[in-house]
Amino acid sequence: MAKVKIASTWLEACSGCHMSLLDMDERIVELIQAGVEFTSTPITDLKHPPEEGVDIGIIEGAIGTDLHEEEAKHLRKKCKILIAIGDCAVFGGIVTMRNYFSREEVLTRGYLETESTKDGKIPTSDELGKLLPKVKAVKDIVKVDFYIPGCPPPADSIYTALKELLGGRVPVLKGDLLKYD
Amino acid sequence: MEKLFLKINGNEIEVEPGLTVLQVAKSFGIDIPTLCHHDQLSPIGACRLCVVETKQGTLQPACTLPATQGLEVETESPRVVEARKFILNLLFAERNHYCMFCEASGDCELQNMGYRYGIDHFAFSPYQTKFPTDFSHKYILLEHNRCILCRRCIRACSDLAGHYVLGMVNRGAHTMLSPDMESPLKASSCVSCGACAQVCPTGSLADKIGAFRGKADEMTKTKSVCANCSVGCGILAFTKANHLIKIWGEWESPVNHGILCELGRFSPLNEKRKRVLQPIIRQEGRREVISYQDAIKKATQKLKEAKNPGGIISPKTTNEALEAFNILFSTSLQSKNTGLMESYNEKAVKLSADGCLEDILIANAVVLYKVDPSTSHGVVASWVKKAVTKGAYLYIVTDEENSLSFYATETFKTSEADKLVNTLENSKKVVVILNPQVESADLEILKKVKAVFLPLYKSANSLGAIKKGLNGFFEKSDVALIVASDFSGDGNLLASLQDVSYLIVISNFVSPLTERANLIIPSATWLETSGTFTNLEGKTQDVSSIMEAPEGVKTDKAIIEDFMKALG
Ligand code: SF4
Ligand code: SF4
Ligand code: SF4
Ligand code: SF4
Ligand code: FES
Repeated sequence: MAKVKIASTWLEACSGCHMSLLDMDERIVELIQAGVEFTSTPITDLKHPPEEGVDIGIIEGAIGTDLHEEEAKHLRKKCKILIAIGDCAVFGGIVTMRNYFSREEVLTRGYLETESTKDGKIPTSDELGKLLPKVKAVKDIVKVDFYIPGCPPPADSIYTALKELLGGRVPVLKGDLLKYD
Repeated sequence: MEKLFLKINGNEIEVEPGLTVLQVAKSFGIDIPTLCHHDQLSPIGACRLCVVETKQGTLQPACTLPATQGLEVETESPRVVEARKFILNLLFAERNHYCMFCEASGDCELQNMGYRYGIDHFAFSPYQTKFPTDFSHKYILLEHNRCILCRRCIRACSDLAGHYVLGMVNRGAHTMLSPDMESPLKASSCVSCGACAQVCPTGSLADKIGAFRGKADEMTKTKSVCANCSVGCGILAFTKANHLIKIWGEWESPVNHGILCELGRFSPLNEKRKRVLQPIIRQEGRREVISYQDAIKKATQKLKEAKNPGGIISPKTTNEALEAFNILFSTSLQSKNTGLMESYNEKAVKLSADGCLEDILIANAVVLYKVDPSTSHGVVASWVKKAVTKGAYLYIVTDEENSLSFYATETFKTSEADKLVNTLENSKKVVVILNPQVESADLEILKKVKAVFLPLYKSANSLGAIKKGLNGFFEKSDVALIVASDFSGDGNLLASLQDVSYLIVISNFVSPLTERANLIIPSATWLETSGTFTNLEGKTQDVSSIMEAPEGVKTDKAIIEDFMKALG
């Protein structure tokens, strides 16, 4: 059976969704045996999807900086099917809390004013992404094909969605597999 | 009456006239989703989630659409489903519906509808405007960011509870729920009845103490009766791991129909008094913890040796405990020296034979006779406000300020109380709400009024106790037993105990009374007790234990029975 290549990344998020992905436990092996190949993922510690592209791209996390925007666009180009997993990727999620403040307020509070900060400094390195005025859901930047909401999504939801896609079907999440919290 | 024939989802059905399509569908087990609708509230058709498709191809809200002859509707057609998804997407796009940090997540009706219609992302990006959050109120949290403007809270506050605090201000996307006219909830005319929080379908109105403590599904729900006044409102208590999380009004209760007051809904959650947890004896000025068995032995021995054993019991304990108390004194101790922690004018009690709270709602005139129910019998105040809203006249007899005087047609000084007789002459249905501690002179005046009388006894089971012959303190006693429940004992009671040389107090909490006691035995609170209370109308209602008492702490009834066993 031909390999089904998956690349995943996390953007503005907590990594919880990838923890849920790992929570599939032995079913990861089952997926690999069924032909799945995990290429670049935070788990395999490879940053860039292979040149030739992948079948399925998975994004955890919202779009919070210009780098996230770039990365989402890049993965979109490199994959056939793009899945947004977790509330941050799907809706914007918890990280949209900062949308109620200006960037300056957020940076000042985060780097200079927290109770435990002494002589803080707002980082300026060019390698860091610049905060966008507002955090956005992935679908606000690139076309998303499937959504697996949840904070984090249950491992069962991720497994079911992948299994359905592998079987050539369109996943529909219902019941306990569809949750927002 | 003429029957109606209509078709729902192709099935012909026959119904009585006067129903909405939603009601009809429900009675046939067809589930039409709703959001702004609530079974206890009059429908206003605000959210349109309940739309159904008619044969003519229009979408109509089922909650307000009357079932008429020949009507044909589809409740889940593709157009209907599409419209519902569209509405949900509009609701999710307005304000902030990121569920992972919302108090209501898991209990939220909007969220459930999102799940039901498979909303797996927001079709429209939320418009990310920060709405205010009002934390000012002592008990209620108003989080405008989660509000869907369904107006359930407004209808509950006004139509069910009679308080008319909430309303909407502004229009369109700027529409905001507003207490009074844009006042913080705390500074508004809100009386903290909590009805609004009980009906809110989202995380917009919640009670602070119960907030973020889990989903209702994971809690134990127990129906019982509020013990904080003699109205006897039905409650639904939510507990988790023996912690009281929140209290709702029981919609099915014939007494309060789901409405509560601050005392009923919030004060039990806010209990800060120190519990008595072990029997304590005071000997030679020292306090010592003793075993329960020793406490019973000591207490009964003292009572047996007494010349004139006396007993006073709280009107907040169950009828079953009152009965046991009466038997303990009449049979085991052969004493008639018993009393109650409250005293009432027996004549006022007799006046009230067949009054019931519902009478207030259909009265043409209501009299508040030397009572102000707002802070002590909140639901009675609610009913009075509702009666006035419906057009009843309100007369208040008082020399003091009365919190309902704003609603009064006329207020009389107590010296002019006899003016009532003429004033009420032409009123068809008069309800006199009175303080049952009034003087006999007051009763002479009231007797001349043709009315239904409702005496506002102070406590949950005052009337139960009076009916068992308990009213007022005893005369004199050398060894006394006081079953105090949560009463602390006011100056009058403490004064009447002057001659008591040995005082045994069965109490929930540490209080001036337990300070005065020689022997203290801990008792279960009403939240931890099952039995019955008799409310001011004479209804005897079941009280169920909502929580477990601390280890080794028994109910009044069980303790009194142990006394009887020890006395043989
Ligand atoms: S109100 Fe309901 S839908 Fe909105 S965030 Fe809270 S749980 Fe989610
Ligand atoms: S607590 Fe009661 S009085 Fe206050 S706003 Fe809510 S419903 Fe109205
Ligand atoms: S606060 Fe709650 S009940 Fe009131 S309008 Fe908003 S969502 Fe509806
Ligand atoms: S009116 Fe009385 S019984 Fe009803 S909730 Fe208030 S205190 Fe409890
Ligand atoms: S439930 Fe009918 S319009 Fe809201």
